[in-house]
Amino acid sequence: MLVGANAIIDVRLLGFAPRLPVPSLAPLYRFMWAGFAINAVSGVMLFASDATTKARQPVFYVKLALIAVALIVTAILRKTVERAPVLRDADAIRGPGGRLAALSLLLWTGVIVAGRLMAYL
Amino acid sequence: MDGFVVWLESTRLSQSIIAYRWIWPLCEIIHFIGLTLVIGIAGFFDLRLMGFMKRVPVSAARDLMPLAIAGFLMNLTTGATFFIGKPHQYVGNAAWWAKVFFLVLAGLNAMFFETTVGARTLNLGAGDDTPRSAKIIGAVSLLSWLSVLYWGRMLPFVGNAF
Repeated sequence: MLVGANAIIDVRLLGFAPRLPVPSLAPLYRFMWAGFAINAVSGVMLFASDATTKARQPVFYVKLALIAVALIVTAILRKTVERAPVLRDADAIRGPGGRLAALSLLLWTGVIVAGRLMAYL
Repeated sequence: MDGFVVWLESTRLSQSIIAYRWIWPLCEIIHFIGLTLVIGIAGFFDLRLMGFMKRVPVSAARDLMPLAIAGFLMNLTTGATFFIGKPHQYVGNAAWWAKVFFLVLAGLNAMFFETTVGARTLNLGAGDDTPRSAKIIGAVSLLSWLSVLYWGRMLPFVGNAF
């Protein structure tokens, strides 16, 4: 819910699916934060069940750091999405918005990679 | 089925997937990225069909579909890699058959959509409501994909093949 919905906003801001009006995507943030809440709660429970192992894994801290930065970028991007009515729908968002969207896509993908690697490293 | 599993595990391809120990984690990473694309983008379209987020034009939501298909192909490829690597983990596992069942259901549902109400819903713009049939199809699709996800996650916890 979190990464998938976020990917929709990111690829739209990067110019994909230009017929999709950016402001109409604002309700996706509700799904994203709900998804984040589910992951935060279940993540804390998973950590609690295996804290001694996970607390010693460097990749666990990489994942936490990536989540922290990704959350900040996502929160900033929300302003871009809400400000978008003044932009033409068909345009890719130029300037910092597009670069932030690429960064957001990269960061959330990094969270998945780090999380998956926790089972192996 | 047992003969097939034994034969598959004797192939060089199957043995290579296990021998190169980085292949499995790499495929898992790709599989997880693919599933966020499928659930995120197909789920978005399903929700619009169900009548949520009406400010989104249906045809525009559909423009994202190539990404969902890309995600699905990532998962089909990596999923096939898992199956070829360790077929015994899957063929005897009820969760795997449940996952395949819901995959087929999602596929048939999508084909049904394409051949019936699909074309009509694409004319719907921002603010337009979808017909009841599209709402049902969207709900079946969303539930099917979430079931695929659920049974996939249950794979290591059902039975004792893993």
